[in-house]
Amino acid sequence: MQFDPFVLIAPAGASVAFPNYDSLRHQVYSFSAAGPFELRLYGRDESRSVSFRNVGVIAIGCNIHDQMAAFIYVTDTPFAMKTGANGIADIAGVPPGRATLRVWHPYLRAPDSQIERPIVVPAGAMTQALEVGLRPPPHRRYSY
Amino acid sequence: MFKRLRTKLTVLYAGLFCIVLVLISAAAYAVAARQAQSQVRDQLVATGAVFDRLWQVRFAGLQEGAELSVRDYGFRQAVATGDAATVRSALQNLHRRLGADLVVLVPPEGGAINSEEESPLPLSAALKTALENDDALTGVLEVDGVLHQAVTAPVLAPNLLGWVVVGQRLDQEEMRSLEQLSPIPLHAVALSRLDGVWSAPGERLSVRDRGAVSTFINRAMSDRSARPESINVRGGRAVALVRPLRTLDGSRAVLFLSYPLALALANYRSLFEALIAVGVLGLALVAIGTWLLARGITRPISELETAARDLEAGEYAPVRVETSDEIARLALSFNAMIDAIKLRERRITDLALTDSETLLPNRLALERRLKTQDARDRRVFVAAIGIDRFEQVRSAIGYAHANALIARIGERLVHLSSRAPMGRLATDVLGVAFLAGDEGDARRRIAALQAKLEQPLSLDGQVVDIDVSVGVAAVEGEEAHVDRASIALDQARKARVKLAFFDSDSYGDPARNLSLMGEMRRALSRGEIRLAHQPKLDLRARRITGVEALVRWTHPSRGPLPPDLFISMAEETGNIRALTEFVLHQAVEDQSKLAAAGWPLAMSVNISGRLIGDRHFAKHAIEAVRGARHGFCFEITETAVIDNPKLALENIELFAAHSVQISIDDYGSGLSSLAYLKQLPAHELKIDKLFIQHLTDSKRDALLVRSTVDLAHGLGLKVTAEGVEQPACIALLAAMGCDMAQGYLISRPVPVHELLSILEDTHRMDFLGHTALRAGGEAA
Repeated sequence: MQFDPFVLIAPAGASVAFPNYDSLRHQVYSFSAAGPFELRLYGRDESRSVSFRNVGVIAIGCNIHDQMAAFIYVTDTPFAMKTGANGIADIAGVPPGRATLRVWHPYLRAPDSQIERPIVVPAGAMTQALEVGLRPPPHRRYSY
Repeated sequence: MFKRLRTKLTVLYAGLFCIVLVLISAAAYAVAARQAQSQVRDQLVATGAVFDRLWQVRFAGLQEGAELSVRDYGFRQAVATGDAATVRSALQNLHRRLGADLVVLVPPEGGAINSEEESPLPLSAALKTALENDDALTGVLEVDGVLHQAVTAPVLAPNLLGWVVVGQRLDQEEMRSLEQLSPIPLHAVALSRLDGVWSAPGERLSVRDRGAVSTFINRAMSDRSARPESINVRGGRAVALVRPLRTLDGSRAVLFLSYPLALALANYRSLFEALIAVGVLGLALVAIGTWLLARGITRPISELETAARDLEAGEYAPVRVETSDEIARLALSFNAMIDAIKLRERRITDLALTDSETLLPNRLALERRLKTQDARDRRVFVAAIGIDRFEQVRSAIGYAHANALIARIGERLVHLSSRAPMGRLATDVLGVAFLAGDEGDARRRIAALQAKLEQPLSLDGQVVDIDVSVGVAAVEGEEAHVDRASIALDQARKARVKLAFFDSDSYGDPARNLSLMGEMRRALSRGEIRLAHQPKLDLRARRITGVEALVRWTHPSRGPLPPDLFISMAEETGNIRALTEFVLHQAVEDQSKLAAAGWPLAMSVNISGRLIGDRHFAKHAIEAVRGARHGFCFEITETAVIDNPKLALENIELFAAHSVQISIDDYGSGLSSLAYLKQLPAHELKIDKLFIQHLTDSKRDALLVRSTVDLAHGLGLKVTAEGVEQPACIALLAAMGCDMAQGYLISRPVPVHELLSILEDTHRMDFLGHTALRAGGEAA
């Protein structure tokens, strides 16, 4: 049992649905300051929605199943993109000029798991390479 | 080292026993110690394993509690809200729920929040790093100087909100409860390393122990040794085991389990106590037993030693014999030896007091009995009874019979005066002591005894006549009575009487006379010894024609000494030669003086019989008289020649050959052997005064003198008469044809200057000449 996707990018104000396809019930919650919520137990084929107004990272868990974890990155920029498994994200349509590049991962070894970098976007395409370190995910160390 | 055998034996055996005991004790101790140590090691290892297990159980318990707590929804919500007060209260809640000493929340960004409101705990960066790598740790954690057994658990929502650290203090109380779970009463302490030193907060380790423990732990850690080892700490040796403890922050901590060896050995205490008790008892038994045994051996030896000392001192005390061992046999031998010595000593005493030839008591026996003689109101006398002519009798009847004779006389003496002390004094002398009122009484008793002793004896059928002379001495003071009786006997024989009492006057003082000889040389040099000359009257020429030189000694303290005394002493002591040589030189000198005064006289000198056989003296004498101006004559007694006739005759012939005339002195008093008269180349014969003194009264003497004069003349000898004291005598001699006369009538011996005045006294000379002439005329 797991949330899917593990990481979701949501624009601020968007509503995110948490449909339950499992044959058991879940109690989804988040204590994150940007948008804490708690969805009381709901069963199979039921869905609950939560709208996130504030920008920030929402860590989502299930109170019954500790190994379940997911993160919603609420942002107000349209130029946000999730990398593939290869770690590459191709963001198109960014206007040239000054900009701030932010890289986030739930287990990134950085303050607030996020790296910020000011960049100047040229008129054409550009490639920005960043090397990051990841912490081991906590769940993997749980074995009970 | 030890003077007594008893002590020596006791100390030796007790000492040996002690050594054996000490060896046994040492061996027992070594075995026990090894046994105890190995037991303790085994137990420590076992306890170590138990501890590990307990440790794990406790961790599991802590961890379970922590895990459950951090998954509590409310707790996570509280932590997620980030409100400090809420978080703290949540931690307090957890603290209560788990009953833990330490509940801390470590946020991912660092720092720590604990359940108390006060200062945040100084959790190390190392712990943080360790948590980032592994958020579910178990191990030891030192907080505020106190070691805790701690676990961590992550707070997930589901992102990491931080870690909760839950710990239990490892204080002494906690360790004691751990120790109680061990089967042996060991000492457990958790130590952490701080500044290179292992220490346990709250645990009072002395500085010395801390050092020793640190060293011990360091070595054990470096060796990765899981084996218990020995360690010396305060309170003695201990066996200790070090178990490393996992820590949360990578620092080092150990569990130190120790067990004092003394405690382990305590189990063996009863064994050692028993060993000591047995040892002391055994030692006492050995000492007492040895002492008794040694006493049993040494007491008889000591008694033997005492008896030997007594024997040395002359006391014959036999040793008591109580046992039948070797020492007893030695004691028996010793007693037998004492008896034998006693017997032998008695025999020696008997022998010493017995005359072996006759078995009569000897002189010593007599002297001893004299000492114990009790005289009461009478006096004790000692008689020396001499058997006359014993040598003749002995040569007639033989030695054996002679001894038998003495024995018979002795028996007779015993019979006559039983119980009187008697003894054989010399070969022919018996001594007897008797009591008498006074000398007269003694004389009567001896006379009676003499008469009975002189009865003829029958020996093997032969009758032997016995004559005895007796010398008697009174027992007075401590003097040598027996000696004096013997001297009295000599005096009796000399005086030709049957009985004489000791005469001390005539005996003189032999010891004093002996000292005279030492003085003689001095006397010769100082002129104490001089010559006196007695003139010889020529009866035909009616004048003095010669003198006889006589020696006189005037002692400075004793006055004039009798010539017989010192001359015979000089003869006995070998001084006669010096004396005679002095006389010869002096005579030659005096002869010269007389000649110088107009008196050329012949000089006669007496030569002792002791010198006549001396060749050296003979040569010296000839040399001395060689320078004499007038005639020299040596007067010799016949008896002098008897001792060594050959040498004497040679010397006499030598004198004659050198114009020294030889005169036979004292003729008639000795043996007057015609044989010697024949052999001696003499010129003169001097008739002894014994015949001259009574010449005028005794026809017999006159006849003898006349015959002798004729005999001498027949042999070609001149005759000199000695001892002429009466004018009638001189006339008679002249009538008999005697050549010379010498005597007090003519002159006593006088020094040379006096002699000169006599010679020059014409009146006196004329008287003498006329006396001789008248007699000659009568005879004619």
